[in-house]
Amino acid sequence: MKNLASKILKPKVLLAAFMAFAVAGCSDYLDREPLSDYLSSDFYKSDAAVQQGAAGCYHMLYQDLHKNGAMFPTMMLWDMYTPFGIERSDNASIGVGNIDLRTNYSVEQMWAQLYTAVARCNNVLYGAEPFKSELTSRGLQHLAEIKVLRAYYYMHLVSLWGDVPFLTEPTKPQDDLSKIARTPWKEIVSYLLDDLDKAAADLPWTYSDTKDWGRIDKSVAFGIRARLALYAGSWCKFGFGMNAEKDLNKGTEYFTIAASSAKSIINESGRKLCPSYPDLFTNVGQQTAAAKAENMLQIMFTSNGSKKVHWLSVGEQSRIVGQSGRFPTQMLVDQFETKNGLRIDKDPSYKANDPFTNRDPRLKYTIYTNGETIIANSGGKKWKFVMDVYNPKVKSYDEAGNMTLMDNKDYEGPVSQYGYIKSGVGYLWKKYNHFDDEDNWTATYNIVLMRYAEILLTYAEAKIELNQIDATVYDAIDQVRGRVGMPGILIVDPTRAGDQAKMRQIVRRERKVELAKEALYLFDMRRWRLGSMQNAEPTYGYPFATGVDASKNIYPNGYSQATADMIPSFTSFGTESDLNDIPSYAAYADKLRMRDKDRSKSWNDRYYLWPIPQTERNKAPWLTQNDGYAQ
Amino acid sequence: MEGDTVWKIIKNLSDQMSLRCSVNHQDEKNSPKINEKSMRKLQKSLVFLFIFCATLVSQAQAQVVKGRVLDDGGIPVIGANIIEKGTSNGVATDVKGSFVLKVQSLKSTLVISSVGYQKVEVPINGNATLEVRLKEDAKVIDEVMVVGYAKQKKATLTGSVSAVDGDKLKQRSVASLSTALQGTMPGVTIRQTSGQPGADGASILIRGVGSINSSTSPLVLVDGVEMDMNQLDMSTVESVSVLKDAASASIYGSRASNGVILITTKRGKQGKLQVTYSGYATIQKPTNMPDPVSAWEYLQAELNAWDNAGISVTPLQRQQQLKLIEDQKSYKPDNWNRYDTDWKKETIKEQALMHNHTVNLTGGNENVQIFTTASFLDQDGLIENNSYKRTNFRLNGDAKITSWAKLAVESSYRESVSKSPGYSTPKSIINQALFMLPTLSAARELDGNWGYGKNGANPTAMASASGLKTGIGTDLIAGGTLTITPLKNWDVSGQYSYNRTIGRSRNILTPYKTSLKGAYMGQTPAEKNLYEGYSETLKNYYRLQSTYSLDFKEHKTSFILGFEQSDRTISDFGVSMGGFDLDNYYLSNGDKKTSSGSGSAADRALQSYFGRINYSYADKYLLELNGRYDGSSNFIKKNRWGFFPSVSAGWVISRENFMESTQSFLSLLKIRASYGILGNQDIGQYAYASTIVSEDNGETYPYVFNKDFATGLVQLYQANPDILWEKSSQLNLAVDATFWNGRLTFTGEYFIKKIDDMLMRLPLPYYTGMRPAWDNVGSMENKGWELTLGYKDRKGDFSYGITLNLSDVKNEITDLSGYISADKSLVEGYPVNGYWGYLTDGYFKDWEDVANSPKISGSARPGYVKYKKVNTAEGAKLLEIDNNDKVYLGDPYAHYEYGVTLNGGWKDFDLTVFVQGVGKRNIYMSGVGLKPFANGANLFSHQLDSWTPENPNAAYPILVPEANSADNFQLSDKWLQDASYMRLKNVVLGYTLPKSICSKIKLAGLRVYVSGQNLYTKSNFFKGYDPEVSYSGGVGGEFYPIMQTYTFGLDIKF
Repeated sequence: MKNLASKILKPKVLLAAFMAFAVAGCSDYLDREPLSDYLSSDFYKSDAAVQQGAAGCYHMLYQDLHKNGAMFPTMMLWDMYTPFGIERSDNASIGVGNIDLRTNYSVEQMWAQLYTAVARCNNVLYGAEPFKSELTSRGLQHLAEIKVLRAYYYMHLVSLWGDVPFLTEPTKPQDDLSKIARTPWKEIVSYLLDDLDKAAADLPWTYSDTKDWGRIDKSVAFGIRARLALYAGSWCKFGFGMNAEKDLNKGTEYFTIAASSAKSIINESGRKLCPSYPDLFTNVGQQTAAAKAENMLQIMFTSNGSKKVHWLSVGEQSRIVGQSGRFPTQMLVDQFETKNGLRIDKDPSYKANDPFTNRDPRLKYTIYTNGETIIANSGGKKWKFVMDVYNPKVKSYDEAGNMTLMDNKDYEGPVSQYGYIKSGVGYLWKKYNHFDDEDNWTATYNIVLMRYAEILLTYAEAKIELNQIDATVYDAIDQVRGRVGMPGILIVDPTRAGDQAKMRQIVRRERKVELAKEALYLFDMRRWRLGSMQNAEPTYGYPFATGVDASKNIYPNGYSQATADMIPSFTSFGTESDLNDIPSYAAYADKLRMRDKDRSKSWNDRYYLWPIPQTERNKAPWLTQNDGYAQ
Repeated sequence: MEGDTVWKIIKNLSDQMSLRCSVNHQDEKNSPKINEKSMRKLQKSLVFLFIFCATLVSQAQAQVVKGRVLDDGGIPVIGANIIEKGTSNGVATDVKGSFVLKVQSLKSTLVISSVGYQKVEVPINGNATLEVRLKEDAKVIDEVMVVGYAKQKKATLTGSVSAVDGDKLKQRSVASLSTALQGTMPGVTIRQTSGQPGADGASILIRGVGSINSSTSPLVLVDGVEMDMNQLDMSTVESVSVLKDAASASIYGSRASNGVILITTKRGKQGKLQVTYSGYATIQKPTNMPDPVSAWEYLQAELNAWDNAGISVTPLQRQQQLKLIEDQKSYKPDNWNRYDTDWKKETIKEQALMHNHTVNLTGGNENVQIFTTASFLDQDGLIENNSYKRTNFRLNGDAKITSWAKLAVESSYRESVSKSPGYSTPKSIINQALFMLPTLSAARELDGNWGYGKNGANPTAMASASGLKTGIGTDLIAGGTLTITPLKNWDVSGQYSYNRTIGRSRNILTPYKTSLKGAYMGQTPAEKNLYEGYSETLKNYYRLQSTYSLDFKEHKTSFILGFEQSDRTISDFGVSMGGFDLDNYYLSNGDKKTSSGSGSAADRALQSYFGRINYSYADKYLLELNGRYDGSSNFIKKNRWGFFPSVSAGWVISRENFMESTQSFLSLLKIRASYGILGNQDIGQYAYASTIVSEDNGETYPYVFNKDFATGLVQLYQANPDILWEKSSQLNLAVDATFWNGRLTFTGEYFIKKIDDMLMRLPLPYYTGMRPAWDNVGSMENKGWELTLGYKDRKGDFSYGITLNLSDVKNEITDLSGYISADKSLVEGYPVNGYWGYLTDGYFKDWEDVANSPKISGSARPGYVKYKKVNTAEGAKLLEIDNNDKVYLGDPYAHYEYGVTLNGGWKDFDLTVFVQGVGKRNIYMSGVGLKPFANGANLFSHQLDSWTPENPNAAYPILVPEANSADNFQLSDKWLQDASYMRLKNVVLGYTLPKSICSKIKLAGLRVYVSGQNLYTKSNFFKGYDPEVSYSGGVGGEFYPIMQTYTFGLDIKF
């Protein structure tokens, strides 16, 4: 009897246990929320959340195409898409135009990156909207920073592509995207100018805490407003896009906004020019108070933690210390005045066989020229060597000053085909590449996106285009020139006073040399509509040397062989190319290193805007294409 | 009769068989008459043969024993072996099961054996006539297979299950279990893609690729618990079962869509305590390596390339280059004026050693049995500082607690230590050693510093002087099952298992100094660094299961009902720091300002109810129903649960009365069919949620203020909370046949697997700025077939067997809502990752040919690859090749995969020969693996066969610099290289010491063997490249070679 009971009881108990266990397991065992991530619903309701969200929006300034820890901000290529800069090979660069931009990887990625950046901003702004009352002024300030960033990203979209899809809120999976077409650029610009004005109200002129160095302040908000308005004014005045559509009244309106925005920075921000121009572009220099006062917006890098390094310098070195893929051109070199403040063809003291002495000091701050000493800082080793376009050996000096001759890898050897002599035209970028203070492979200097000098020039240019040329205009330009010891514009040529054409020439020239390689000239060339004029000739460089005899080890310097007639022509006075300082080398072209033979054939006015990437139009066929690119 | 040769006998035998086959449907009584003559002849022949043999061996006076050997059912056993015990005197039975044997004494004992039957010993006891009944060997007829949550008799199985015995895998003497499984089962595609120590496990696909975005790997369960099979010690594996069709796998529901691999570990056996030692030592060599050219060949090729591309070379430059070439030919490198560095030789070892030692202890009484093992594996890599060591312990115990309760426990601990150089990865170092230019620098310069190589990258220095990455992995599993038998045939069992896996890494980066021609060039990498990392996975597994079986006359039923839940929490953290000026690499010594840390965690849970009903009538009509109701935390509440049912049925035709006439040779004929639905939920945690993250796939989003980091948060994806499981349905049709009691076996299967609701992220326009959400949109289909054929037999002391398997599967995307991916890897109507490219038409003959033919760009020259214009629609530019000229060229998958295993034993020797191959496969290599000079690389000798006007049919187009050669190396039929192969995968030759000798030296057994892996390969692939390896990496064509191995091994039983 007992046995039987146990036989029946046991299974019953077991079964009950089974059921209990199974039911107990049902409760909330499967409810697993993210542990180290955050759920997006109702997230941006605190200052701290908005602050970290803002950092995610700033992060897009890095513009890294390759996502591999080390960054290459793509905007640093933009100058190479103008005749002032070149990339490694002929006929492969966007600047030369021999490729189909509709399917170009870089164009597509820039489009994608900029919109990713816009969406980052939209997500935080939209997410924080219901909780604005719960934020302190610090939280609202972060939202204003994000608005400025969004305007900055949209400014590039409009400048590069014209009419673009314009979203100020995040998209959702259920949205009907085909309803989102391209918004006319003027509508976008109006919205942004207004939004920047509003954002500025929530931002301070200066941050009291040094921890906020690098954060967007009121002067950046006004600075971007000024830049965008200046661009828009030029587009309206000189023509937008392939067909050069104009709108003079609107242009005046925009120039007025540009001038007033710049003016308020000049008058109220307390920003100043840094007495040392090179300090603006080195790691140590940028951390001085004077440089911080001029550099308004930058992509900031750090040597802290797992270093945020960038590869800007890695691709701009002599082959002796690194790699090279981007070079300046003769045309840019020839924009720099002599130290007398004159264009090279106008100054009798300028010698074709000694072209780099007595020039605007900014030439040597910006470009390495033949005979210049390069500071190499690579792999924990620092030394110097002399740049030499003409000799298979170069002099090099160790830190103690001992001289040795070393192989000139740009001249011959397996990598010379990529060097500045065989791939470039005899020049290297020096701006950012002066390595006294850090290793060129792991550079952490900041890349400057906006500085006070630009504001001064923007102010001057807007006022000149408005034909309101007064003392504040001369002063703005002279401040920039004076910092590097260049003579005042009216001292050099008093007839400039009140002459709109001459003033336009000098402010444009100043912009070209002061802001060279700062990712602005692509937009300047477009808005000044200089594309066809500037791309009329191939890319030129150093003069060839004659009488080379390797067997006797004779390697003459080509520059010192240059004859007096080897000075470029800027055509006759008052012509467009004269007024825009566009040199021609045709007269002695055969004596010069030449690249991009077909440059003139490849220019087309459609390049005033890039095409909407083909992959984007495959996904969104409702987007129209820009003029000149087959639909 | 004397005239009969052995060949004739065999011919007679085969005549005999075919006649038997052809009379299946005839009246049984007639058949012997028809065959009497030949039968008698055969009988005579066999008798003659064995008498002859026996006479040779034995001089003794013989007496005759006659008899018949029958099976349980009284059916004659043909070909049974009868041996007089202690002699080699023997004979085989004829078709009537009869035999006649001359024995030395009527007091002897006869040993009677036949494949598929239990061996018996029968004392003659003076009888001159014997009738012997052989019992069917349970192993063959009652062979059981491990299936989901149970074991089933193979004979009545209705699903599609392949199994392989653990001892067979152990024979392969390889480090990873997945590699050992290669070729053993049809429909299971296993490819060893790398030979890197600690990472040489193979990739496994069961019945084709099962998803586009979710996991395509099968579920691997070791004793019911999810685990990495490559971390197992192979000597502990009892069996491996692969559940291929929906019927067998659906009891694993939402994790079973890619098939299930069940691994069972060995358990203790009742009996005397037995200790076994097994050990082997292996020499590993790469199966293949490309052959880079020397300095002068490179320099000559470079000059030729410039000339070929029309690049102007000044006379001075030419003169210098030619002099350099002459010097390089005439003089040895002096590492000052001339470098000719053989980076391959300097960096890569000729061979590497691997050895493995295992001690097993097993035994027990009727109440307690244990199996315990300890093993150690040490595998060396092909470069310095690259190795893998693994130690495994396991204890499996079984205890009978009461008459109605049993406890089984499993516990295992694994610790593995893998080492690799501090800088770069072993794979990248090996490849840099293969393609780095010989002219750049010496491996070590004359001043004693390392050579500067390519901007400081020097593979030899990276391997031996750049520090050390050490990864220590530990794995602890502890669990047990309590089984209670409340009533006869009713078991209730509860299982719990705990699994903790820890990965601990310690990576030290030490810069090495470089020089070039006496000048110090600085150090690479620039700075010292230490990374300390920790990751942990905790898993809990609970199961409660009830099994009941009830037999009523010929009706047999069994029921399984179960509940199971499991959870998994993953967490990790890591810190990196620099500034170790004094070289003691611990975090307390570094520069705190350079430190950065990270950490994250995620968890997941599954809950399931499962059940199975088996019904069979007379072991003839078989039916099985499975179902699983699964809940996953990867979906939101309302979509969380899914039901995955399956049904399968079988008909054992051979048991039908009308088949009686064939029973003497057709032991089993079964047809079976199954259909079921499976799920796939393996797309990662929180896929339904829109999350805000600071890190995604290793990418972080900080910004820097005041030169210091600020954490950045981003929302990367649009979210779709409504996502559901991926579902697959599979139909399986199969035939199993066994002849002559297991001597010949055949299985053929055909399946159609449809995968629906595939989770895809259909691309959004960039302007949304977000990455797309998951959506259940895609469908695809895998269709395939599998054949297995086996034959085994024994003739006296000689036993042998052959198994052959062959399979193929075809994949097709059936629906993507019209989406076509930009690279065409996803196009409806074509396989996933299909190759799309141009068709080629040789090379351009001359400039006229260039001018008149379509081309990709203006860089075309004579000797460039010529492409065919496919798109000739109106408006197409006929002289331009563009995207519209790309056509489908094939898929990247292995087709017609086969494995052939031959094994033979003679007396104390055993031999296994295993051939594995792929009948059709194509690989497109890129970068360095394909293009001469790619990424500044050296040439490989096979690339020297390039086009010149005198060599118009060269393998490669005209040699030009990389910058000019893009048009030539487009994905096209020319570069889709044939990667099919046939490979002598494994050979084992063993010798087992006879028992008599063993007992003298007090051993229970001793076996020695030699074996080899990947001994010979026949392939048309690129010279120097192995067709099986996977090629990828930043510069293309990178790989870690897989190994050819030579092993000597020893098994001792005490």
